[in-house]
Amino acid sequence: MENYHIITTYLIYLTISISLTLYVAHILFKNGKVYMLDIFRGREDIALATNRLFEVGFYLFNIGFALCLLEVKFYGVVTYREVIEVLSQKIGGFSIYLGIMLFLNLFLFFKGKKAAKRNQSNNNFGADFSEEKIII
Amino acid sequence: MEYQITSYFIFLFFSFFITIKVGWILFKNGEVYLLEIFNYHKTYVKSINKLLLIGYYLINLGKAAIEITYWEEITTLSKLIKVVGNKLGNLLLLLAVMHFINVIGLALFSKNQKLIHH
Repeated sequence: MENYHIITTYLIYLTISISLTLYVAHILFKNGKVYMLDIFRGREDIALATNRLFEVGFYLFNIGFALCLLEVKFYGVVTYREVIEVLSQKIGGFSIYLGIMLFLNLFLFFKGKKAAKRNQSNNNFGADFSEEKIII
Repeated sequence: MEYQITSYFIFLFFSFFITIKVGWILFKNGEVYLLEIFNYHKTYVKSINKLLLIGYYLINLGKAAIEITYWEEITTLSKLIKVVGNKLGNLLLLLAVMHFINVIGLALFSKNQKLIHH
């Protein structure tokens, strides 16, 4: 009976944490495409490749973390009440972690965008210069 | 005994599947970077990309196979889920860390290359 409770806990935790990760990554990188295109100045192939690479990294990192935190320890007689308490603690902790990762990623996007803007303004000077040269 | 062998099979199946799938995605998407770094020499890039992929497979699949040596004694189903989950999680975290190191390295390398060209 005790064993059965633990297995239920594991299965619920795994389904919720993995589906949460997949959902968050899907949303984040669907919307991150715009930033990537901006950062790489519209070069679509490299922007999409980078987006995909980051997405894979996100999946690996977060699902790996979720699996590492899997272990549950119960003492004495296990009841459904304890199962729910442990599950809510674990899932809450994991979703806070996921939120922090999400903000970290957003921060990276903003930083990249800023850097791209700076580069672009530099390049614009270069382009103006070369145009002048051609005219001369 | 039964649980032990089952856990080996589950672990090996998932780890091989994930490693091969991730390697294939990296192989496909990394080509753009390599093309940029090697100034669009198609033949160089193809061979180097293939070599990198094979090196990646060797290291990660080998690590997954070695993991079997350090396996706990498994007696119950709950322990099976715990141990397999933990080992898979470790493997995924290792893959993630290696992946990010690779991406950062490529980005730095391409930046350096650009500085040389300009």
